[in-house]
Amino acid sequence: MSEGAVATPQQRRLEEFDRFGGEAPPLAVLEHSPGRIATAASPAPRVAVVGEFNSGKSSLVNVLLGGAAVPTGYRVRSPYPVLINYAARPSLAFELGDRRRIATGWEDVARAPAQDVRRLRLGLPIDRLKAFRLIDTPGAATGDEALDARAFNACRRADVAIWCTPAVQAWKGSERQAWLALPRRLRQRSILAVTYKDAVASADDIERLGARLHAEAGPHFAGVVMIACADALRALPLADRARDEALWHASGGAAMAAALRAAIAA
Amino acid sequence: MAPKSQGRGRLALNVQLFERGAPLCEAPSGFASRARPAELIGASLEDVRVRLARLAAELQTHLDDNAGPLLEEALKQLQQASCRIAVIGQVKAGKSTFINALMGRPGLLPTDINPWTAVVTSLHFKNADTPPEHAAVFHLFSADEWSNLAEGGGNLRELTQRLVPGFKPELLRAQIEFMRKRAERRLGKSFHKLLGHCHRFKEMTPELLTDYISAGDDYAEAGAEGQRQRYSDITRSAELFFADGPFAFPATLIDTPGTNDPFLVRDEITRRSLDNPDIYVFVLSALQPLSASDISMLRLLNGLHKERIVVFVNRTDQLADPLADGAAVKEAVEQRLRLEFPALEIPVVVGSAWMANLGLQAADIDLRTHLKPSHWPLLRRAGVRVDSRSDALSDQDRLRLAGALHAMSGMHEVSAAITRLMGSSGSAVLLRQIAACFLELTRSAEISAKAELGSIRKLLETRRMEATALGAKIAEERQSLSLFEERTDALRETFKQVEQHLAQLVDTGTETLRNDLYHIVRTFADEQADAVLRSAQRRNSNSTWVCNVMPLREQLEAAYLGSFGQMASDIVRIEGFLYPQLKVIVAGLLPDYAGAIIEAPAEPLRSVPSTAALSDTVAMDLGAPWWKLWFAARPSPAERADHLANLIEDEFAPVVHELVQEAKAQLARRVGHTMQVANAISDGMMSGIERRGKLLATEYAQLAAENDEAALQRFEEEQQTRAAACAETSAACAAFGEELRRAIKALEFDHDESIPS
Repeated sequence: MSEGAVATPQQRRLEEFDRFGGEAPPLAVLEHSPGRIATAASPAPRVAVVGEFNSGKSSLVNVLLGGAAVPTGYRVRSPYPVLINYAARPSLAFELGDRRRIATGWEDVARAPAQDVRRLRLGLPIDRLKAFRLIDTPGAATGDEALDARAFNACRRADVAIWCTPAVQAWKGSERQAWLALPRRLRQRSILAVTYKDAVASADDIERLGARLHAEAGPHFAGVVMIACADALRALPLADRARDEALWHASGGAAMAAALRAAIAA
Repeated sequence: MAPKSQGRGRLALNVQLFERGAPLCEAPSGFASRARPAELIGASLEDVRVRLARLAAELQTHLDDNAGPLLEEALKQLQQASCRIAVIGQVKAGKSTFINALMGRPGLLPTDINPWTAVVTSLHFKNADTPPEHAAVFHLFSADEWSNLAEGGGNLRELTQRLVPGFKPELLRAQIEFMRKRAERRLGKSFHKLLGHCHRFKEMTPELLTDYISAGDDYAEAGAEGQRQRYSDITRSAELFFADGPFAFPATLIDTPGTNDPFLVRDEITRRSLDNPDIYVFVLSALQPLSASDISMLRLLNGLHKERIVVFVNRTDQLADPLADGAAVKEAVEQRLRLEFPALEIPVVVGSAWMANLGLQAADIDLRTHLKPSHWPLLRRAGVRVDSRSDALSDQDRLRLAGALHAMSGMHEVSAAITRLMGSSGSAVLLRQIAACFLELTRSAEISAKAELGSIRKLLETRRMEATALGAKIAEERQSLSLFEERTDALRETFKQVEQHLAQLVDTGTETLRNDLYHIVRTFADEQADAVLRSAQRRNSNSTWVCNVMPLREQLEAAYLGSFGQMASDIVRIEGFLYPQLKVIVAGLLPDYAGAIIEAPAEPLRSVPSTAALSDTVAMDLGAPWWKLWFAARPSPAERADHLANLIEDEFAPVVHELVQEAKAQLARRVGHTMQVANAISDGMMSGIERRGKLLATEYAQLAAENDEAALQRFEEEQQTRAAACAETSAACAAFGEELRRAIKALEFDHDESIPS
């Protein structure tokens, strides 16, 4: 950016992005404070995190949010996409077809309050969410076609997509088929996130896995990034300590942040 | 194996092949053997097989020579009996790692972070059919197969092109081209000269297996790979032979490249190898258990009536909380399976082949350096109290840790599940049939021996009668014998007619079957064509239309099994006519035992014919995207409908043909077997009658020639000896009969028993 130039909204967003380290509120706070979400429409680009079930999507979302804000793993599985954007107070609500919202908590997200739930809306007071909005999608390939359709439709309207694939069983035929069925325009601004990097024991294996994925999947993405989300989460700053830079880099958190920044800027 | 002694007869020599070898394969270390499964897979079935083989040899000494060929045949079948177990699942589920763990040989099959198994690999254990002189045999593609693959992409490409004329499956073509170039790079421009060859090796080394089985690094491969040549691109199949393994009963383990592979050629290779195994071990990853592609594979197996399946949920070591998450995964998988396949009871085992393999290396490495904190609660559950931080592990602690790793790996439960499934497999049915056949033979031999014995006793009783009276008695006896002879001759004549009748029944029955099946295919093809036309008339023809051939498979199978069942019951009915005939003869020969013992076989053609041919059309199970393309490529609805009908008929014609051939072969085999048994029994009767006739003649001659006391004494002694021999044969046959009944009972053990978790 040249000196003295007036910052465009895009540049302001990127600056916001670069101030990585906003702390997410713990889950417990959220469950009892279904506040109102700021109604001002945010123009920030939408980043959809998508992939087959248990591919580490929610963990990655938490890394991108700077702390554990959405539940992961087998505990809670929401059948709806979760749109996460900036709000002054934390809030979680079902959004219905007519845009009406019904406040809820994480423990109730699997129980739909109405027939036509469109998605969940999660508002968080995290400054980074002024730079981008996140869509955490339900896991695909469970055999439930309605669920797949919801996940992929949420992805269709996104500006950037991050496809999550677990390192030990990465880029299967079904993943390639699903990805190639999504709009072509997504590909230039999208990232293949190879999750659970820590499950691969040797550096040599990581290198060879990377080589295969670059060759097989690389042409369909702007970039391929390997990440160990659990390690990246541990590297994030806390109230009493700064970010663990060594772990942040080793885990692939830094590479993911850089790739996402590039995708948003593109 | 013990050296064979040259002097023994063929049967005795063959029986030697059944003797158990050394208990386990060479363990990688002293520790490792401790973690091996306590019980070998299929031990109960093997027990019966060995007993039957021994009985076959012993029976031969008590039965007439007529039974010889029948026994030889049975023995050959016993030797060739083998259970085929396919290890299937998605790419990178850990199939090769699982096989290594089951074998107790951690580094045997090559594994890798990238999809690595490129060739369907059969591991043979104690298969007497194959010479053990080779450790590994690799069949390369023939020139025809290769050019079919390289130019066409095999059946997948062929079918796609017929579906969508002019459509070029770019991806498949690119991948095949890639494979061809790689083969050229690895093996030289003249690699075509290698095609059609078969490479045999006396020894199996890790390098050798890597060269032939592993896909290799497709991408980061250095130009100079050393002196080794990699043949995996042009290898069609690999066969590995082991003297020992985890199996008691002869078995073949089949490793497959895996489904849902982005490399379509490997996906295709895997699907083609699914047709004829007896048991399937379906390996899932605990991280993504039962994804859509797993479900569709299970549906396919279910549709093909492949019901002997055990699900192994692998990679639990990679769960954040192996204990709690593992239990949750098991629960979820079981629930889903019950929902999808309510009629099937599929055992689910949760575990980790990686843990099993790690435990096997306890002597060589410090296990703790490989274990993550998340693994310790699991091991503590298995009773391990090892300090994860102390400097060195005592030998005892190593053992405990190895034992716990094995206990939590799930390998024992999988082995037990396979053993149970073997009890209902084709191998078990075969053994039961052989046992039933032996039982028949011993029954008829026992009857003959008893008749002979009765004859001798009568002789001894009347020995001191007056010569004239005796002569009359002998004449009377001879007359009754010749009557039996006549009856037996008549019976044989009947048998001949019955045989002709049966042959005719099989011929006409299978022709009708063929016509019926063709009719079903044509009707289905027409219906589908109609459906295409109707869907084109609807406004929203844009929605994905898929031709689902599963209903056709089901209809074909139902019609096929129905007709087969009808023909089988016709045959059984005719058999039911044969056996009373035998009974009449027996009653005549042996009035004291009237109403005894000969019955129709207890095994009324229970074995179902193979419907493997139905799976030859798995390529028709293309996903919705393919059908979309097909729709896009054919503009006129009429053209589409016409084309689809032709496609279905062409695709299923060879299937119908194969099914009919299979039915014909199976029925002919049964008919042949029945006639063989019937003839053996009547031959046995015949030679019994002959012996009694000779006895009478000798006795008469002796009585006529010399009537002195010494000769009579001698004669009586001789007859006593013979009577004793007859009694012995009879008793032995009765004992065999008892043992065979036990053998049959042992095969009917309870396979509904649930798996201990």
